Amino acid sequence: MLRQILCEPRLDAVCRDLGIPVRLRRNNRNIYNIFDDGGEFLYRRCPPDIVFNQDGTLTAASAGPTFKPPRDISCNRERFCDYPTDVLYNIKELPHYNDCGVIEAPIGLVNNHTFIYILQQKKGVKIEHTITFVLVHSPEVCMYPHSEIYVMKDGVRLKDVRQETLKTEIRRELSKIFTLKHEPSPNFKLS
Amino acid sequence: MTVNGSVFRNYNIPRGWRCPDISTGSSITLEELARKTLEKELAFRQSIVEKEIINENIHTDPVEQRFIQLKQRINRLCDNSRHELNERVRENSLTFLKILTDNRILPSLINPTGDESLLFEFFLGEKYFSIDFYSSGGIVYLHEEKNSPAHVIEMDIEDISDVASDIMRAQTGRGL
Repeated sequence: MLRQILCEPRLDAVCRDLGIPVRLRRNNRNIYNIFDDGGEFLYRRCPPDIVFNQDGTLTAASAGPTFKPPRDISCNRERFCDYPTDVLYNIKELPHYNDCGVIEAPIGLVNNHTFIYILQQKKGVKIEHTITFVLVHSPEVCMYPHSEIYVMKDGVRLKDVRQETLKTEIRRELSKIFTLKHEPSPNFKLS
Repeated sequence: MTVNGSVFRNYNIPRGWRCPDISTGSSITLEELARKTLEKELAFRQSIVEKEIINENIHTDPVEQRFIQLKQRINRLCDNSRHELNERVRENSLTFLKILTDNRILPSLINPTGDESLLFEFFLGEKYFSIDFYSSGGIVYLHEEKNSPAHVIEMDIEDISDVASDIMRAQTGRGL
């Protein structure tokens, strides 16, 4: 807490230098882990060359670069954003991600989303796993809306996803949930 | 070109003059040599025409046409270092593509995942299939039906034709 009080003014100057709007900075606001599963959305940045299906969903392959690595997935929650494109601010260095796209997902579809996948190994052994996405509000000094999607495997948070079968499965699930919100454009400028 | 002797008149070559035939080692008249040369030329031209007809047939077959396009796409993607795809991905995915084409199946999409793998996707009504070729050599086959859990299978390249059979069964409506 003391560290936060002492360090935040200095870091706030960094946010200013980066051109992050005041409304998006943390400014000593608390973590707010209550999500409106009924209407709130999550926004995430996606690379400029991503391919979308005709219905606006991501192709499973596009989910690869969009959610790489597929764990602790950073997003902005709608509640503390004025625009979905707020997620295009780079809070570490310039330039911002003006040319990137934005994808969205209703929080109700993401938070506690659980699915079972059946892994069949080469020897023919079948193992059933339960995967759950858990959403947490994880504010940054320059980005208060910042949140993360934790990936839980059989109730344990995954800190690294090395298993290729699991990568494929997580990509598939995320590609079904997220849709295009803001098309990547080389001419877009953050206000 | 004529072989009735008129073309030789200006060169004062006597009729019936014989010259060695390189192809047989014996000697032949100039008229015979000219005839043989003409026949060879005609046969060569005919073979070119036949080859062109065969090529035209290949390119008008939509599956073959698509195969060529997808093969080029895979090669392009593997050549692009940005996608982190290595020779194992190229080899395995081209093998799979050939098996698919032989069975007259085409993937809906082929894309790099940005995570050292190349993904083939098939959308067949309520069924979805994907096969992921990783640079480590790992192959992950996923099949899923609407409202059912996905099945994820670790594969070896030797068993890759099983995937084509699964997709073919799904395509013909016989299910998995």
